[in-house]
Amino acid sequence: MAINVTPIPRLTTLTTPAFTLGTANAAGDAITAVASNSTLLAFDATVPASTGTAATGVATVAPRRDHVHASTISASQAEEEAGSSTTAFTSPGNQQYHPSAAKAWLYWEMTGTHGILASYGISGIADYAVGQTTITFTTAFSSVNYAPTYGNNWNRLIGGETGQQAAGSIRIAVTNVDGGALSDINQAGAAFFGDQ
Amino acid sequence: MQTLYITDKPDGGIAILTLVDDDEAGIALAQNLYELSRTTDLVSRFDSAIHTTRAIAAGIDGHRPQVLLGRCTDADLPENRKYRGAWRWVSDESSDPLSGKIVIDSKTAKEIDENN
Repeated sequence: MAINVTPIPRLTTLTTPAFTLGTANAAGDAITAVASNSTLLAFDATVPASTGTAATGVATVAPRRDHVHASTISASQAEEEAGSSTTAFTSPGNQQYHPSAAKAWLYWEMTGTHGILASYGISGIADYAVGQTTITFTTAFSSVNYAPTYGNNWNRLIGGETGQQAAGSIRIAVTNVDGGALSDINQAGAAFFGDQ
Repeated sequence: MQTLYITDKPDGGIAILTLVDDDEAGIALAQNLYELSRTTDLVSRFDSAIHTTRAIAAGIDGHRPQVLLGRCTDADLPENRKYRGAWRWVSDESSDPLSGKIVIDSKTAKEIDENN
């Protein structure tokens, strides 16, 4: 007599998934199973940090694909002028307010027509006389106590005229190295530092 | 060509203004005239609502009257700057009040020759 043995399927108990996201593959030891339509924990609802010290992190869940970091805080004009914050960031529109930044600069020529070859923060220049140029700043300094610097590659002396350094403009004089007479210069540069 | 603006100086000569940017509203021109007009006032700020070219020409406290004489281009300037101190502006009295030309004042030019 033949005996047919029919295996009785084992009843599988489905449990809640307990997968863990990690940084390497690892075998688990549970003997339970999960259904293919289970929901897998991958994300959390924590607002991501805006910025901070670099770190690898230890969280076992990740932010969602469409998460948004808070905008970094750009320094205001007052913060730039104070120059002390280590948390606010400099933006292109405000960086010139930092004390170390040039508020205006100019590279110009005096021979022929007074011509502006390159500049920043300059409204205009005036050919005042031989060897004399008046420079007007787009934004005036907060006082006359600002620092001009000059340079040229034409073997001349260049500096501000006595009593002609105003908050909104400055008159510059160029003289010959030897005789001290006012003299036009081919090209010269100037930069201005201070509070505006 | 770059537009240049002619204004007067206390010594009777002229200053020639070059502006960096386009200035359809005339604010940069007024600002540069305002700065050139300073005498005892070295700190006040230009205010476009108050300091118009007309107000600057009339005179502001701490500033001398600074008059916009004319307008030209770099092609209108004398090629030789030897007599820069003798350059003067002469209006051609056309319908455009800023139209005119730069001439060399012979008396001043002679003084320049004598001093050199």
